[in-house]
Amino acid sequence: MPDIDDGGAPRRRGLLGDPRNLSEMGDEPDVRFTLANERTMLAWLRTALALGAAGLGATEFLDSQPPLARAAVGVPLVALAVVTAAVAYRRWERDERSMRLHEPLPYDRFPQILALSIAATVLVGLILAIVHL
Amino acid sequence: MSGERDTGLQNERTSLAWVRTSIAFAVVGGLLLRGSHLMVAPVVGYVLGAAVIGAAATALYGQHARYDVREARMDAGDGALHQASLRALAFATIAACASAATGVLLLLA
Repeated sequence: MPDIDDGGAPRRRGLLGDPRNLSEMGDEPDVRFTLANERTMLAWLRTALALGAAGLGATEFLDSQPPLARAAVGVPLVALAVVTAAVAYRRWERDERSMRLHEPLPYDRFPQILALSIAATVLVGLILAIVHL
Repeated sequence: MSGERDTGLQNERTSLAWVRTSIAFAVVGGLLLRGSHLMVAPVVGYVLGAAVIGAAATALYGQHARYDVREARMDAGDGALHQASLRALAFATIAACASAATGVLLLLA
């Protein structure tokens, strides 16, 4: 589609990815799609905050467990929280750009990686709770 | 498009998603404040906790202010993109998660 302005090549990539102003790129999508994309990002941000709260809560309240066991659960959860928050914005920006340029929404493996990481952390916590080092 | 908008309760749903997100911020801030006295440097926990609760209040107020703006834009048939507020919220969330990570390290130290 030659009549669509894709804004040219990205200028630089920071923590939050492509800093270009999306409103000048391509066509304005249906307002429902824009807001659905916004709510999806908010859901990912809440997931990140929930991971942060879980990591903090595990470290804070599992005082029957030794520090090493609390660290084994708390540290991975807060690390996942930071990664999820950063990925959330990049996905929003990527999907918004795709919609404005009439491209299909890309697929990525982040949800699978996150789910497996959480499962692994839960498994470690379960084993430590049973063994009770 | 004006007068016969077909956007249902999009604005409400989006505002409620912001409210839920600010509640999640408040939970992280509350946990930081609650655990401060167990940290090696309690003052860091207090400051980070207060800052995260401040972010919760700001997001809550921001969505309240933006509701009417969005409603007017949708009535006018304009787009609903507001990149700046989403960037700001993403930065705030990364900072809140980094604060949670700092809190975890201070609790373990």
